[in-house]
Amino acid sequence: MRAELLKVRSMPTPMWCLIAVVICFVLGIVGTVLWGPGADSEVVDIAVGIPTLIASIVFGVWMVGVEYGQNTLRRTLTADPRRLRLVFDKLAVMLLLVVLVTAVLHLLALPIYDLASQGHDHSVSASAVKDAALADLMSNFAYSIVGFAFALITASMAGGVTMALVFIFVIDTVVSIVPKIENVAMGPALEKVSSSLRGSDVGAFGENVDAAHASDVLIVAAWLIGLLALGALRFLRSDVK
Amino acid sequence: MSESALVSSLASLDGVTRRFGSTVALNELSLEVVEGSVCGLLGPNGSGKTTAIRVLLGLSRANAGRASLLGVETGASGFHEAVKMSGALIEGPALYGRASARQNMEIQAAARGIHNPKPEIERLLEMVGLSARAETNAKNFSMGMKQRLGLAIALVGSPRLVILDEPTNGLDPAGIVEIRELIKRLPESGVSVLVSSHLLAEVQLMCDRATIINRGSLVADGTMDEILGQAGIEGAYRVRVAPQEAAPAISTLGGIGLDVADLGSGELSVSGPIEDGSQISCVLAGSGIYLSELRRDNPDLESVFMTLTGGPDTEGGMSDAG
Repeated sequence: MRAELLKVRSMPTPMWCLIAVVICFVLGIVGTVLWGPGADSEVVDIAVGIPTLIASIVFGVWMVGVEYGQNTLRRTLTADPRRLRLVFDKLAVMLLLVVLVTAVLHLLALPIYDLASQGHDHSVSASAVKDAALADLMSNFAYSIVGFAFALITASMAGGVTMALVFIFVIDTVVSIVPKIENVAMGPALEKVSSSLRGSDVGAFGENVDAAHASDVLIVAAWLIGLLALGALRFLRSDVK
Repeated sequence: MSESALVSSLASLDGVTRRFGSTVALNELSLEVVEGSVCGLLGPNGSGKTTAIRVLLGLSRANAGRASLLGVETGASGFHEAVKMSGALIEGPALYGRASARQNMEIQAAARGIHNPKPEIERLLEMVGLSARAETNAKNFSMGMKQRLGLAIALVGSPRLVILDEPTNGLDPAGIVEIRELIKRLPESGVSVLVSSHLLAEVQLMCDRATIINRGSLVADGTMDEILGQAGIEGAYRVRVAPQEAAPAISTLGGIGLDVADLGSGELSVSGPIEDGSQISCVLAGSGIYLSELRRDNPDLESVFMTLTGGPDTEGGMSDAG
């Protein structure tokens, strides 16, 4: 696991993901000073939630894709050939950092955005930030796994990003509108779970969202486990170039 | 590491077959790397050298046969320990381009579970002459520097066996000599080496043993002397006489049934049924011709390879890695 942490420390992609979310965070401060945080502290969603979501997908793909992109997988596996262990190590480091960055940014958002909102009609609500943090943690956790799994399945950095985005924006959307199977789409189920954690019946794009049930959690878990299993199987069985 | 790993054969393939669709990359190939040796793996492009190395390291699965590393069969319990006690440089150095040389080595040390690797990293960087560039990103290195860093990475963790696939690729002559000398010295520090190379002369200069493969099958195997002997190529003698005595010398030696080629400036190449070099000296002296030089012109690995494989392989030739 230490080797994976060292790769994160040494490579530019994780740093650029972090820089991107920090820039959005700072822009959120500027926006809050100028126009206030919004009636429901929307600044947290826009300046923290969406950037960390995008960074989570990219980081999830990168965690695996970097080895294919730089042809270093053979080196990694000749240092320690236990492939399943490598998958778990990478997954653990990725989830740890996704959770850490999302949590820390939300923790910082409360006092900083609250301070920045002085003089405006609305202040930043602690409960709104807490709810947003929980919802974002859930989404970022899930979408980083989607990116990670598609990088394993495609054995490619570019392929992983492309397929993860195609899955999230096309395949899953198609599933969600096809009669009889629309209830097993991952995105809407995740949206319900996130909104329930947020204590809201409004989705990320303003749409009405039903309350989540246990089945929604199971649907999300099933998709994530299924994609991960597919990726791990591909990784375990394939020759390493 | 189990006791079974303490064996003299550090790596072996036993009747290994590997197919890619209808293509047979390895055909019941057997080879062995003996402890304390520098063993060469030779073959033309597409002969299966890299596939053999991949199978040894568990990166590719064999369809049939057995592969083992440090006495542990591929995929068996303890195989990961055997891999950890081996180093590898396959098809060029695999480097994290945007990480420095030192960071690349730290990553490898961490992947091998080495605690406090700093002294070893410093020693290896010094050994390959990269101490002064330790903080430079690997992507900014020349090919030679990348190869040297790749070799240093392969040596992280004091492996018992190092497997090097074309380690002199892309190096200039000075770099080739440098890497060759580094490799030749490895057995002194307890590291055995399996090195694949398309440079036959290189292998002859740095290896104690060699395995020659062609189209995935074993062609010859043994010490360099054994392989040169297996080819059955008779060595010629190089003879030097005074330039004005070249013609009489050719006539004299031809008179006893030897083949003589005039190389110019009094230098002759003599071959044929010669029991001993003194026979040439004696015959020429009997004609009043005295030698200024007489030496055995040993067959080189290149001619042996051509003899054993039936000439240049139309599918690849010896200019590329297999």
